[in-house]
Amino acid sequence: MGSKPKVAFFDFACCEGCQLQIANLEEDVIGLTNLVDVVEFREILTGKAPEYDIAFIEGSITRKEDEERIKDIRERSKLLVAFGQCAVSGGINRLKNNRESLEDVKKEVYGDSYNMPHLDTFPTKGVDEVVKVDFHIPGCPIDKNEFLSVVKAIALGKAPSIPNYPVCIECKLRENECLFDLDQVCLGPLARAGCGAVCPSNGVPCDACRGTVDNPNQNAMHEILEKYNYTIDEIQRKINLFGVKPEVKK
Amino acid sequence: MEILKISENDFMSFLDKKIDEKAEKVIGVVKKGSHFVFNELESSDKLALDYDVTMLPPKKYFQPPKELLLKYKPGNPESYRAVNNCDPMAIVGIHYYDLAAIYMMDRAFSEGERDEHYMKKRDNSILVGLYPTKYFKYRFAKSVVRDQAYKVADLMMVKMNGDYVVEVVSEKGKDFIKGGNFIENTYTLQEIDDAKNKVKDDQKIPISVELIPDYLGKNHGHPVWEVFGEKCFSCGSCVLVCPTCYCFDVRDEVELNLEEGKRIRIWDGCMLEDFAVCADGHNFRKEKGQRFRHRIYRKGKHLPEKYHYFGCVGCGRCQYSCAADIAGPVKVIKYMEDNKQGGQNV
Amino acid sequence: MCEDCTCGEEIQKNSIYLPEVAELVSKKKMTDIDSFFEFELKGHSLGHLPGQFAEISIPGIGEAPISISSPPSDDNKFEMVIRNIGSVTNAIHSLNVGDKVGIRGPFGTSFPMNNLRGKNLLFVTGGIGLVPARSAILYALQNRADYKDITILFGCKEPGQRLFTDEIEEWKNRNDITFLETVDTCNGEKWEGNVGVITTLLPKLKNIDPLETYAIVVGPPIMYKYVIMSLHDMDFSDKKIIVSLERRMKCGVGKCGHCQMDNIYVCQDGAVFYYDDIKHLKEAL
Repeated sequence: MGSKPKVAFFDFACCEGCQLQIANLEEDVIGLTNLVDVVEFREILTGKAPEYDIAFIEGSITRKEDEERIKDIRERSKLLVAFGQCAVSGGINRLKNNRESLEDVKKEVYGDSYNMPHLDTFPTKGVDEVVKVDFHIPGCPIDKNEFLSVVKAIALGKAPSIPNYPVCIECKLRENECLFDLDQVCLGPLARAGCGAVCPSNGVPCDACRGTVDNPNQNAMHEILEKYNYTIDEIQRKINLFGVKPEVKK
Repeated sequence: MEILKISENDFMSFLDKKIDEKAEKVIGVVKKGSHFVFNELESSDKLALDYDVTMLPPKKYFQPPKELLLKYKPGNPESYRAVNNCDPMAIVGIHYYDLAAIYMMDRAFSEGERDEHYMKKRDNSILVGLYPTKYFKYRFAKSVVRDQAYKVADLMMVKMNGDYVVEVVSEKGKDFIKGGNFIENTYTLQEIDDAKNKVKDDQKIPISVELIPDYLGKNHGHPVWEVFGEKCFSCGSCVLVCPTCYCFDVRDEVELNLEEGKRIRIWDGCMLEDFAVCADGHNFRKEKGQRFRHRIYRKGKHLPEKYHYFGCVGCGRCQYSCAADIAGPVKVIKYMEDNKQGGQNV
Repeated sequence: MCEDCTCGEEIQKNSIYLPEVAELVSKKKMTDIDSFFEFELKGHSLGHLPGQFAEISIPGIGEAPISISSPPSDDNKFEMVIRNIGSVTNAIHSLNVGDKVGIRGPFGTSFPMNNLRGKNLLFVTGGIGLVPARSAILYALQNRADYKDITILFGCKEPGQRLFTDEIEEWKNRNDITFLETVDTCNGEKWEGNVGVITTLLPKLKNIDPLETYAIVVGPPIMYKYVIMSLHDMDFSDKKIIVSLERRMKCGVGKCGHCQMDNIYVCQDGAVFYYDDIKHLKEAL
């Protein structure tokens, strides 16, 4: 790319924690701004631009207004990148889709005022369920270095490389003891790597916050369930946490 | 072959001296949580030679998981520079099966097109072997390893009462122990032999390794591949921890300023879904069962046919690290033996 | 010497992963996704044989294995046709004349042109399979007297994917060779030639003597099985069928494992094989 690409950041239903990861890049922020021209980023600067080379979208789509807004951004963007698990799969927000009635969900959260018009909501969608997404950066939150590698790849004109292998690989590379052997239920064998197995390396089992690999073998989870004496519910609850689709069936 | 001995205490003092001299990095087995890993030693205190198995084999020092091959300025092919870190190192306490694996790796990287990135690291290394002193429930090395360890070891140690008997295998080994209190051996060959064989393996490949290449060839259509493939996560743990797996991917990485770039190789493995995918998207090993068979064939058929040694050294790491409990060659061949197909098995 | 390198100059001299430099000297679009590239090495020729490939690299993007489409030559130039399907090939497509690339190779086996002297040649090519085959075709045409009948069959998905269209016109007009082509579908384009898969061309050939003819088959993975079945129907023996197989060639030097097919590293032991030598392999076709 000749001149620096114009980059914008937007948020939808999310905690803005992924944008915070970018704001927290520290010295790399300067490197980033040498590489791209950040024209919109509500969390750190004011200003607006009519169009963008790359739009980074955080958050899931849960309202009619969200759909209209994301479509408008898409029209004004050459590339659109969904970053963070909310944008990628709906993330934690998608948990509400598992409930029978959205009305009940709203009552539970907002009490008596649940019916106010600005609280209107529909089942959570990932960004690619509404508009075309060019690249996904998974994770809750995103990994700062992976974000930078995606920006670098786009700047160089190559396809970003997001791992399609499970977290087990990264655990083995760090020579961690398997958490199953320490009596913990870990989604590592299904979960998409790229985080450097940061949770298991600190003794915390993987919750698949980056979603699963392309073809997770959820059925093989049975072998583990039997080997370590867990129930399907225990596994499924964990899988549902980040809006990941596979279902463990008996 | 010269045989010497050294007391345990003197050996530790010798290592401390080596560490202080800094002529080479001294690497040994240390405890990590409830298990063991190879790591650089700052002093002999941390050395834990009484170990069952390490999480990763010592191959990580000769083919690092992420290894720099080239440096360059992005977009400028005239700037390509080949680089390699081949700082001298001594690795202490390598079990004989891991030495057998290094022998296999050496052949893979030296034969045909010689890979100097690997070979220079090997040339500058000293391998101090050790007969296992501790039982490991998945190990079946005795049933698959022959004489390979002595083809690569510089020294072989055998733990005796309070002493190590040290077999001086190479000139490099002889130079390495100069300055240590290595004295004349007083143990009988029988005593040494007994100590070498003190730790037994529970596991054993159910058929003679010499017959396995042919056996696998005849069982290409055996249901084991599909049955085990169905249970496989394609997580790649088995190949990552395998001391004779050396497949790799090559990647380009650039700095944020886009002015410095590296070509690196990283560990890859045939059990991962995308391993055999071509640029046009065609996957030559699409099914999990195909990948599972390829891995076992590589160890049990392809490598033996090429190098005349069984391609698996029986360390048991794959079985230990397999969440689905299917990876171990003993388990696979046992299943085949228990489920013979209409006279197909030999 | 840099901090990451303690091997010094020695590794620079001996690394099998260090590319040399080639300059792009001409470039021509062939289809929407395929372009022709001519590269030149400094001071020496590539020294390749028909059917070999090389690893082309763009620093910062990566390396990709590419078939060489020109015949062997003492000239420092060589040719390739590159399909834009990945990051590396995309970067190569955006190069301008005068730009440079990294190159390692040539790698792999070649079409056994010496063994084929005095015989008839039947080229059966599909899609970009024509690219490596062209190296052998042009070699045979340069040494026309050394070979008896030369027949070239070319098939591709649709008219817009035809490669080397100028050369194809020449081949069609030559009376010392037979050239036939087909497309799988017209896809709405103007096309008066054959329609159908490549094997529909084989019955049109008269007087093929399977004892005196070698078939050279290069195409997408799906093609081999059907072409070989047809050749068997024509009484070709497996020793007279030569194939060039695609695999994921990553290192080109028989180490990285990606191209392995049974016990064979295709990047070193192939990509050109006598069918007879690989037909017993379970992972070949």
